Amino acid sequence: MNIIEGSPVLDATRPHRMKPERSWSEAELVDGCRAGRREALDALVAVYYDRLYRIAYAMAGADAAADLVQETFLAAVRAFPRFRGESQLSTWLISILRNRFSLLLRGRRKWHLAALPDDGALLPAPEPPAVEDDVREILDRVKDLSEELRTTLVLFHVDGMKYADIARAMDCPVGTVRSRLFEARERLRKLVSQTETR
Amino acid sequence: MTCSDAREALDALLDGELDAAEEAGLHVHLEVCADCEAELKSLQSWHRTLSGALAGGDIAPPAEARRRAADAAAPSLGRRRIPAGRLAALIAIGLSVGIVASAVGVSRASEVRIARVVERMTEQESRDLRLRAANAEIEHDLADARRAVAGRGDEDPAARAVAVASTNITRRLDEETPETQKSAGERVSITREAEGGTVSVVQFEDGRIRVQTPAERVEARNMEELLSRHGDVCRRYSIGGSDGFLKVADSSAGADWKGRLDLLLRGGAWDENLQWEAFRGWAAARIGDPKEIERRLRVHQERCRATAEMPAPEPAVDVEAIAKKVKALTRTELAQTQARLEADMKRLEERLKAVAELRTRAKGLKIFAEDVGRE
Repeated sequence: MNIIEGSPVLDATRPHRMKPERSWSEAELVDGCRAGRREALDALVAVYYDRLYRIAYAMAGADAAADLVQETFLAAVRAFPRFRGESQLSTWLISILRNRFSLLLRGRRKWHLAALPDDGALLPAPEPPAVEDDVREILDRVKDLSEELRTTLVLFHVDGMKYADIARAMDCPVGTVRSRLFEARERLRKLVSQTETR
Repeated sequence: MTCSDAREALDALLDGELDAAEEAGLHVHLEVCADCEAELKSLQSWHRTLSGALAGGDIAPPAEARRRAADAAAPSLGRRRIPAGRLAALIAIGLSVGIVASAVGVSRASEVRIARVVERMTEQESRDLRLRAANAEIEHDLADARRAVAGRGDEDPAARAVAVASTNITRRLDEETPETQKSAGERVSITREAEGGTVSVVQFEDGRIRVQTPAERVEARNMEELLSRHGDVCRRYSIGGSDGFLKVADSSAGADWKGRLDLLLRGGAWDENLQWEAFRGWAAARIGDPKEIERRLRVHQERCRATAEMPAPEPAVDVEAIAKKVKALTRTELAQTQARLEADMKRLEERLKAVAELRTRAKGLKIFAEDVGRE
């Protein structure tokens, strides 16, 4: 059984830190959320938020990342009754995030954020970090890739997932992950070099 | 190994994902190919640049983002989807309608009816949107599946299976009845002595099945319909199988692979078992070891089932607009609307169930097509 200690990337200096008071196993998180326990949901968010946010940031940019992750947790909580535990919880959450991102790109879905108890305002997008021109160029060109190529690239380079885990999260064979990564890097290299020669 | 093969393998090598045999082959190639050796160095640098650009930097979520995510999801915790949604909508609408109703002197009975209609209309709109979203998702997955096997030719069994399955799913999505052909020829038949008489089962080219027993003759559009509508006859004479594959007691007869697919196209519905069967057939043509075939099938099944767990998109319904519309109705219109909604709800619920199953089938088919299209 996987014991989750809480995400090491949570920043202790940030306000409203939601560090779980104890370790939760995946099964406890799932059962707790199914049973409607708020502390289980808080622990779920504390453990997985930052990881999902980094992926969403690289996929969709600063403007949409927080909304995407919020939508992911909402969809996950609604879908817990159907979660059979055949894949890791993190892989399942990433597959939901990917699903949401795909819908966002297809423009099929209007964002429908649940009303919040206080002001309910949309989250302000954080200031993008200052980066070198060549890095900015790569980040811009990534947006020209198809959803499948972009997601594969992000899951590998940002999250460090193995091919087999990416295949599970994206419902495709491992060989497809390899060929998508190859294609994504090739296309990106061409796009960046075209810009440099202009 | 050619330079073209080596190029993709170099990427996998740097990712630490190359198996030992391929890695050995790649190293042999690198020793004799200066271009690929140079490409390896260039790729190392490109991979580092990519990781640095995509994963570097101090990326932190906005303050309060975690708490907001938890707060937004909290109302859905532990809910049974439909009842809780209805209750929430009813309470919200009931309150707002109540305010209006008391202001204009509407009776308590009308107030309850308005709230009820708004609640049902919201649910109907939500179901309608879910249906449309699922339809679009299915079409997208089927297009992906067809693309994955494009160019393999009509005679390729795997490509043909994808074509048949995709047509079947689309047809069921459109609620069309299977096409029928007049004077269709016999495709597969079986005759056997059973229960003291002769029983014959015949399937025609258009998918229709005819069963002749000593006592009666029954017909159905396909095997699924035969088993459900004439279950008593099937049980009595041990008639079973699927479209293109007939069984009577311990005897069986089946059309060839292409013939079966033709029958499935006309009469059958693509289901989970057919996909496993098609996958097994595809794997058996490539792998000799039966254990390995079953292992590959299990991996395939697990991936398909994991996909079935993916939540369907939740639609956003404009409840306020619906409430406004309902409040403008006269008392007679309100009663008519309520009656119509009650009738529609059951139909929509059944349709949603059917489409949810088709959504799973389409996702499974996409995985099947990607598996078979890869090799």
